Amino acid sequence: MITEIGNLFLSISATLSLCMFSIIFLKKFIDVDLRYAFCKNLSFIVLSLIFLSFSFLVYAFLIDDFSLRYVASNSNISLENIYKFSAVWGAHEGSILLWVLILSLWSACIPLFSGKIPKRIVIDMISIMGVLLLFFLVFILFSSNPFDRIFPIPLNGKDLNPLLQDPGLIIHPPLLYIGYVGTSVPFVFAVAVLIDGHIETEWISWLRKWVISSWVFLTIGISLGSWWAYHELGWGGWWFWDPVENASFMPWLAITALLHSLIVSEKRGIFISWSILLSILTFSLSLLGTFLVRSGILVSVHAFANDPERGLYILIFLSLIIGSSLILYFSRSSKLIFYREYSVTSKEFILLINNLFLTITTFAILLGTLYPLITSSLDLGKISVGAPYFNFIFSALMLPVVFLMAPAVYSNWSKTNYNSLSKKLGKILFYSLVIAYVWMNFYYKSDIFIVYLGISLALFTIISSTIKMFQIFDNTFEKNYFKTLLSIPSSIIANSLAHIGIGVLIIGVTVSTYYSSQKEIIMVKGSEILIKDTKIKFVDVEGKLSSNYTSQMGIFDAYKNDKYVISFFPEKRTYNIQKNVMTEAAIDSRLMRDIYIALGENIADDSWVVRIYYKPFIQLLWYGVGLMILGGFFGIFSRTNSVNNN
Amino acid sequence: MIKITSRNKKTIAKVLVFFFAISSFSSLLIYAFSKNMVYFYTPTQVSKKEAPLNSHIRVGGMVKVNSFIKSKDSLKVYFKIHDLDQEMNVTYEGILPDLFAEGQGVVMSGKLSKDGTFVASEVLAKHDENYMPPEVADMMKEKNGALYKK
Repeated sequence: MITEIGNLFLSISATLSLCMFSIIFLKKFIDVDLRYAFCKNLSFIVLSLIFLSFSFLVYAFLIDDFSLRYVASNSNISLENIYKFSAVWGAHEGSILLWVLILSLWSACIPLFSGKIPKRIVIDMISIMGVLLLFFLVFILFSSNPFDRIFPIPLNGKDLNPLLQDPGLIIHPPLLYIGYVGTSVPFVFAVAVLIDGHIETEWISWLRKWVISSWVFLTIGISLGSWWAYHELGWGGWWFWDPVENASFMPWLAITALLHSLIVSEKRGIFISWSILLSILTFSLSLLGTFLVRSGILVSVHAFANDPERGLYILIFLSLIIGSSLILYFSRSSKLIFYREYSVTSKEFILLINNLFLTITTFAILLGTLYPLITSSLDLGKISVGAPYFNFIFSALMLPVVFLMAPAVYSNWSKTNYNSLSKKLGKILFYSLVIAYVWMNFYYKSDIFIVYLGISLALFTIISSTIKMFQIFDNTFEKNYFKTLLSIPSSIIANSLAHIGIGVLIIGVTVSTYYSSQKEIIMVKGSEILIKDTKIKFVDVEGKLSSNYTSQMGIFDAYKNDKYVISFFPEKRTYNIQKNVMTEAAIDSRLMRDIYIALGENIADDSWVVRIYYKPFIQLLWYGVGLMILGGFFGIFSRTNSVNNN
Repeated sequence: MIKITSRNKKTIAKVLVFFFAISSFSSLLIYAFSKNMVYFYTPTQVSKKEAPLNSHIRVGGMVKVNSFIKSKDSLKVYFKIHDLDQEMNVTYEGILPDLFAEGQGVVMSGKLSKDGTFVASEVLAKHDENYMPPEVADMMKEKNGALYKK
């Protein structure tokens, strides 16, 4: 039953999506209100149908219906219920269904929150959503159907990949997808505006909210993935420049650029055509990411399927979408180009530089990610581009962006008095340089230039943004307390928090990268080892049983100044069904440091290979991301008519 | 004729600045790119001396059964990898990935020493039972294809 109903609902939604798309061609024949009602209701119906078929799949997982091939290959009777639920998006078919579900959710949100956007634009936006939905639904029905049957019906399933059996992985894909798919909204807006040939400031502030929302979700999604890698992969790393990570990072960089160019478009009425182009590029990068992850051409935990046909289908769709929207852009965008004079000291110019650097960085990452794939598919040799390339390029291009954050916040539109700007910021820069110097030389006794540069720029951003935020508080608190509290321009809180977050993140990344200690050693039970200021004692190894794995659990005690601090229980798990061995690291996180212990092989009776990391201030990485996300939320709920500080 | 007005002058200046900026970025990019490109070689290619010595490369193959030797007092390991045709020696010091095993596919990065031994600095094994590093999978497919033709 589940199969038939699921398939039926998906086919109906595909047909309805086609109807949604066809509305765009009926402009001359049907009245606006009727078309609007039609589109709006269609988008709700499609959402409900896809939601229902998704629920059926969830249900099939929960009742262990192994007659579905997808359930049989990704679940197991002994799997915990929560993982049965998350196994729905644990592999290709289900995650594409989730993709479509979220796409239909975003498209149903457009008419609900359309604000001051005129109906004719909303109709076009939903119609274009319709063609995107149609593509993905057809893709599901013909090449990745989660409702496909298997015969004979197996008694038990093959189990979920043990790597994916982790709490972080339950919500990582949905959140990342919400962000990924959210870039479709600026895309359909861009196309609708290009078709219409007309744009208004109010529309841009509306669009900015959507862009911030998907930026927030992308940020959460990417950082959760990173957090998962840190906790689960057992290597102590949190970013590997793996093509799949890049696939999610490129849309993030592009949407960050878009976020900033939209500020200029909204306040000054320029950069509009560029914002439109960026919207198209951001969504194209999201689709490219989907293609890279789903086509199976990459080596990764994320590469589920090795099916060139699927990849080809997405690739064709990708070229159609990018091609047609770029043709539309180049034939229509001239109407959207507006001029306004601005000097090199203006906020416009600084944001222009920001966009330039972010775009180039995106391109550099794209090059490093795609080049190996191109050479290998053209038989020009198997090449890989190592992490050093990305690290070098990324930090070189991001330094100016970080440096310009403070001037961008402090400068004025059109023209800034250079002397007053440098007077304000010069002091802050000087203090940051001094603090960074003192900290590094006295605390770490080190003088690595790049670390010095990173820390002082981060401090520069943190201090200047904090001062900016509190200036606003001061000015407003003098008058009526509550009234003014409500009228604080939350856009300033938003950008200050996000920029402080970036600064905190940079400190976390540089300090933990350059000053961490790592030990890979053989330890005998009862032996001790000193790492930085902490003594680690290897106490014992015990066996442990769980419903779907057996594990050997090490017991380590940590002492600081001969005082007991905490015990670690790293595990080496063997999953019963796939016989996979997994390392579960044990991590003690404190503000000042993380200690990370992973259990390796058993060499002889009492001696084990042990990997220990001491990572100072790595927690700042997660705090920084948290601040960025918080800032994003303030941005979503900011009033656009708030008093501009300039 | 295009008149050179002050506005045009400004535009020209802007274009020049952007051109300069973009070209310097691209040269930075190309420099970093060419420095960090790592080529992949098969044991057959290594045996034909196609791989450069002492530079950062990647090799891959199947770990030869019964070739794995572990040092008693350090994390040093020795093993052989093959691609059905040729085999080569590998040394590595460190913890091997969980899924490393004899008879399984493996991809490593490191340097080739003069005596033809590959000194690995990183070892990647496949991610799960059904998955093989694509380089190794391609390589074995080619070799197998050749075997069938014979």
